[in-house]
Amino acid sequence: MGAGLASRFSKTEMSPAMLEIRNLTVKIADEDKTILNGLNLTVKSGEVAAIMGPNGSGKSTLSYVVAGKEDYEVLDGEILLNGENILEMEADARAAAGLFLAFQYPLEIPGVATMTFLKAAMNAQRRARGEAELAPAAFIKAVNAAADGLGIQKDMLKRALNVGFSGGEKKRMEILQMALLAPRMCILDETDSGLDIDALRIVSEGVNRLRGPDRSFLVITHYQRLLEHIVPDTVHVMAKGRIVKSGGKELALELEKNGYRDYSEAA
Amino acid sequence: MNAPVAQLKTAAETELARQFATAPVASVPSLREAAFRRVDAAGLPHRRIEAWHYTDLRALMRSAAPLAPAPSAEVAAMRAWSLIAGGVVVSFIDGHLVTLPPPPPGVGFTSLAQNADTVAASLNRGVDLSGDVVTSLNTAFMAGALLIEVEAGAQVGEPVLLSFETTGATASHGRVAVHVAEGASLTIVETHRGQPGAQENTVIEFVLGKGAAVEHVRVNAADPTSQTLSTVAASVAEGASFNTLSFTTGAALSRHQVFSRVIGNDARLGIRGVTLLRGRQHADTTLVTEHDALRGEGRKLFKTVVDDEARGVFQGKIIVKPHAQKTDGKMASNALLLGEHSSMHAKPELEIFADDVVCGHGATVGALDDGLMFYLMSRGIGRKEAEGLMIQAFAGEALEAVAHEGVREALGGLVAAWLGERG
Repeated sequence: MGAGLASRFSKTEMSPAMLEIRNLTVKIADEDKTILNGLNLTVKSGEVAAIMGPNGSGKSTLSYVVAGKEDYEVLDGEILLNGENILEMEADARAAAGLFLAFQYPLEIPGVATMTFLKAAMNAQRRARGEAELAPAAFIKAVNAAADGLGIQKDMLKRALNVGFSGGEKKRMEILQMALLAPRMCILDETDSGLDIDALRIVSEGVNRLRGPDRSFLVITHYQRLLEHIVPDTVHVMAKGRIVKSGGKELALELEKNGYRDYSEAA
Repeated sequence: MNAPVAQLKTAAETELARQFATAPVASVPSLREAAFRRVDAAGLPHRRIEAWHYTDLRALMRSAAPLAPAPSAEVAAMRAWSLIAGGVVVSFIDGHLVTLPPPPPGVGFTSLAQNADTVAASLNRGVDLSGDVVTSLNTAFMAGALLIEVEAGAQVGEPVLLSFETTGATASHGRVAVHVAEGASLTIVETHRGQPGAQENTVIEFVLGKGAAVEHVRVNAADPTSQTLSTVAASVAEGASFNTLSFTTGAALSRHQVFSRVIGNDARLGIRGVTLLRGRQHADTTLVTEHDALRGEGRKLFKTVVDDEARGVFQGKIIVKPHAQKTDGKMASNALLLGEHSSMHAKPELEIFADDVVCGHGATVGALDDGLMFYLMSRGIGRKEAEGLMIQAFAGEALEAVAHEGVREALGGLVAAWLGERG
């Protein structure tokens, strides 16, 4: 543990990459077909990168594999977070190392109160980093401050996690968690799906407030709309399990105009 | 149909007969003798008897522990387990009634020692338990027995706590009858814990008058090497409400039986349970409910968490008599299997003879949801803690029905303690 932390910090100085994915090849555990086919991607410290791509190009799979979901088998490649290969880590260890995935479909957990869950998550990460657990008053203060900024009512925090929440409330809850857990690498999987314009604005503002030189974002989206609110530094096009084109934010506009037609055969 | 076959007595059956024959003369001898004759004739229940198919007591009960003697004054003075602060604590040790405090206002206590005939006459009143061998065994050997009577209209604020402790590898038989008169209400909490090798057989019978309300919680935290047989019976009159919840983490072998009868119109029954098992524990919950009146409402929810090589059994039978129209009954058994070799047997049964009823049952057996586990772990929560949160939520669904806040919180604490002991 101690050695791991030390190597992570020394690597930070050597490499500006926050997330580096090399030749990632992945299939679903019980199936033969590969979904990611030698994918390469680098997200620098402080960078907001967007991944766009047609349905079925493997965008959500990429987010799950990076976050540590167990349904996949990695056949080849590496995922480095701050220079450290995280492929052998369980999802909780990756989170403690600074990774956060905002889910496309946040799960409802009946019987687990939102506050109980938030406290468990924050304290688990603090313990994993060798920090003391939060005092109850400090915890409540932090949650209230973050909730206010996202227009989350106190009543929502008292209910079971995501149970009976609207689509917009679930997405705001994801950003609330992101704000409280203060990750270094945030992956947003189709965060705009199911959001109306007002909710999109609130969620985007929440994300923009978290931007900073030490925090990177990977914004996965099908539509350019989200990128008007969360303006990326780089845009990558994904098709058939790999990155087929990279560029600046103007690439998103080009995609909006021409669609994904050009890329469906590119891979 | 079957020709009677002379069955060889097992070691336990032989020992029970010897114990009964040689026990010192006790109160209500004729009641005991009649009860033991039924035990002796039937023998211990075994797997060929349908209600005992998954819990072959005859095979599993290798020996009958010696009858527990009355505890010494020193032992009798030991502190009872109070699940909650406050309440009136009645203490049984090894089945003997050792502490009987003054009852709360509106309540009367009568022990077997004080008035054997009154107590004996109060037994087997609401539900006929004479066909149940476990109850008959209790009747034959009961040491301490207590009649709790609640006056009509009395709203008893203070819970009555019945603490049952065992002090060694002996057999104890405690017995309680609770008669709640018209419009009265009572909360009663029964806790069981004790020493390795103990064999406990406890029977508690409730008779609810019109409009009466009872909340009963039973905690089985017996030593993991012990054997516990427990029976709850309830008859529920018009407009009355009976809620019982069993919480089981203890005993190597446990069988919890709930026999209930709805005898008055518009009565409500809530029968729930949380069972948390590990190692090689075997826990059987068997319910029989008979609806014999109009518009009865029944809610049954049993949550069983099975780890390691443990085994859970749930049998639930709802009988709706021809005239018990508009009965509304729901029964669910949900089991969570944590270990590769954990198992659960669920057998829900409906016998409906009325044509205008809403009755349903569901039994689920499953593992923890992978998707939910990933969601929790992706927030940095470790696997064991994530499992714990989900198990607490799973059990919580039944626990939230407990109306008494202090008891509900104490049960939540017992779930957390059980989780804390998981490796």
